[in-house]
Amino acid sequence: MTCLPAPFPGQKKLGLVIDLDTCVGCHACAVNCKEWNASGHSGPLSDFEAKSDGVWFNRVHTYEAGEGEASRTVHFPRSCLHCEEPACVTVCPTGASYKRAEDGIVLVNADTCIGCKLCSWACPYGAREFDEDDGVMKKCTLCVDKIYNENLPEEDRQPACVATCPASARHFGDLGDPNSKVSKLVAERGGYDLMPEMGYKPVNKYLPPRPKKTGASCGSKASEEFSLIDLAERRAAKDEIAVKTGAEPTLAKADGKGAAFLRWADRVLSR
Amino acid sequence: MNRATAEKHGLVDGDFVWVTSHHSRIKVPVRTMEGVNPNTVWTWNAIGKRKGAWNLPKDAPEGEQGFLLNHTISELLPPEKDGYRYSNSDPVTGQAAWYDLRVRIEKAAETEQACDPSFPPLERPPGMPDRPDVLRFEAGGRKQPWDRRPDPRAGRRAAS
Amino acid sequence: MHPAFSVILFTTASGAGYGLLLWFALCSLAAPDWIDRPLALTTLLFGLALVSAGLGSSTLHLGRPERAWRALSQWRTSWLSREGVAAIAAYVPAGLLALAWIVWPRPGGVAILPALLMIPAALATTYCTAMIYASLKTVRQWRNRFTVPNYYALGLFTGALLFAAILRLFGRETVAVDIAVLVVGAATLALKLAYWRSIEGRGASTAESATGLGGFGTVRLFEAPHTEENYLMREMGFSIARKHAAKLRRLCLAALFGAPLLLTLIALLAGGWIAGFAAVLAVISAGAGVLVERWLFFAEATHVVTLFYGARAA
Repeated sequence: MTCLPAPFPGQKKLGLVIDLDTCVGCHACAVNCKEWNASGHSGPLSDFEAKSDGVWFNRVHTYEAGEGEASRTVHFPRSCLHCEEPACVTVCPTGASYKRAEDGIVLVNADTCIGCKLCSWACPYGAREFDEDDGVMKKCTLCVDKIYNENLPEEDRQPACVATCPASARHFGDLGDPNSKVSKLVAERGGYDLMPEMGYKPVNKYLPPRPKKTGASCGSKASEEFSLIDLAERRAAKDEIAVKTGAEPTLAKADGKGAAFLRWADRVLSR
Repeated sequence: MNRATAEKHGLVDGDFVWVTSHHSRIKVPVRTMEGVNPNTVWTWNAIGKRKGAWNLPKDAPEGEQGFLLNHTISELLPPEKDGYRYSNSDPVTGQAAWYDLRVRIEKAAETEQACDPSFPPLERPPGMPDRPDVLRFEAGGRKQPWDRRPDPRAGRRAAS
Repeated sequence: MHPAFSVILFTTASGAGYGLLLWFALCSLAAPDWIDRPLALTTLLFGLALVSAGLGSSTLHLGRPERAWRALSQWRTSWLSREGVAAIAAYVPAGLLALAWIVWPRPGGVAILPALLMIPAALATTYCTAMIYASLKTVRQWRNRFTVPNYYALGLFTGALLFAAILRLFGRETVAVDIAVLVVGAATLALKLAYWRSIEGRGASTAESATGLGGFGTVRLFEAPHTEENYLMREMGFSIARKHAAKLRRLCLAALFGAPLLLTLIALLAGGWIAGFAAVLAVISAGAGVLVERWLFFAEATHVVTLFYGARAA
């Protein structure tokens, strides 16, 4: 049914928290998600020719924000945000798109979907993709077939993308419970909604990149501010002078055991 | 490459440049960014493939638009005084030394807007089966439309 | 937004069809003696054929057309579902009208109720069709106060042009209808121009609001998640260059408004076989013009998901 479930106090809102500070853009989450869902209720997620342009539930973008040294390169995984007021559910003409009352997960029933694509038009986040091979719409299931699966050991009952992230940049939990690990993380780090002006009230939150450490906090004198580029240039200048005067280069000199090897290594590396 | 450095060379996104090392040179498209040292250029490793490699289609973008830095990097260091050439690899791990190559950047002429070098496509090794047009790893069980429609792209080009 | 031909055909044909049926219903209520059986059946046939062709065409857009019947179930929340229900319901008065004219050479009182019901049925279905687009927050060019009026006006205008042509082919005098065409045409033109003016400018959503990274400065896409296109980019990433859109707008103005209005005026003044010829030409021209108009309605629409793929505002 495409009527949204009526909200009630203490309602479970399962979702993800994505840490943009620690994400390294490895795409492991995207690949693991694709593999997990290649079989099962949403499968197969067919790709065409050699282009891998089939359905992927999770995609990792990379953005640049700002200019020069203050700019940030941010890796940005994008998948369904399991919104509280998802228009993708209300526009569906068949009821194939629905939001579960018990945990808030938004799903597509691939057996009743007619593939009209209207839900993908309604989603601002591109969470839903049309599977050309299957003729139906598919999307992130929050691994509903994994998180409740009693055939798996408890520690494995989490979404594939969360389990696989090598940087621990993805967190799963109940964002409707203010005492859950994910809710505390959101409160601590200032987790935010994407495109809040759309009014869909996404449940997934994104943690902003932390401020960069300046030169002052890198161990130098507080009054001295410099950039790493300045440092590299100064070191290069020092080396030039060293070569001209025959003094030792700035690389640390080792004495005793291994010193000869280090000097050889230094020579080879200095070419 | 760094956007400010690119501007100094009169380059914008998509322009082709010659990347010349002591060993060789390649011609590649440029993409500018903020978050890189102004004196460093970089690319993703191994995205480029020789045409026909990996059983990819002959016109796959990996072969048409991809490129490899490998051609600019010599496997051997320049000769020692006695003529011996050390391997150009990390002395501890033996891994190929990638990150210490100095290159010169020059904007390529207008007529030269394609990757270089380019090699003839590899033929498929004998016995290797043809690549499937649709990659489908299925669970089975559900009644599927592709049992009736083997090539969804052919069917869909007719209707829209 | 990718302009799918099946959807363009669906909205234009069903708009024209319901417009035609609505004019017929009005006419049969206002001037019942004016209509005879051949005229009535021809008009109803054209109307029903157009709306049926439209509905049929819309199923071509589906991934699983064999399940299309399921689309009637969610009328509580979905405009697409409501449109399906309304379209099917509209067959009732249209069908009854056709039946009345088949059974009786002049149905008289029997045709009054179906004709009366035809009007809200046509209006409701057209409204639901327009609301499918106008209800989407993600496409600002559709979520616009001119979208619904445009659908109404274009349906009424193309329907009226068709009605005038059919009347002339049956040798009827059509001053009232021609004047209606000119008035509705002028209003439709005004609405279309107002719509095009209202979609100028940038959207409120930006790459910064989509990613939440605006605090660091301007947000640029550095690397897309995939080197090749995907469904999202094919469907929502389609966009047309301003100068191409401008050319097509001029074509639309000429084919949908300029030529048909001029030809209607000629028909009004000339009469005779020239009028018949002009009226048919007007229909053909408007048919081509409305297809261009609807194509532009899609091609000029931007979806906010493009903000994740490099668009600065949408």
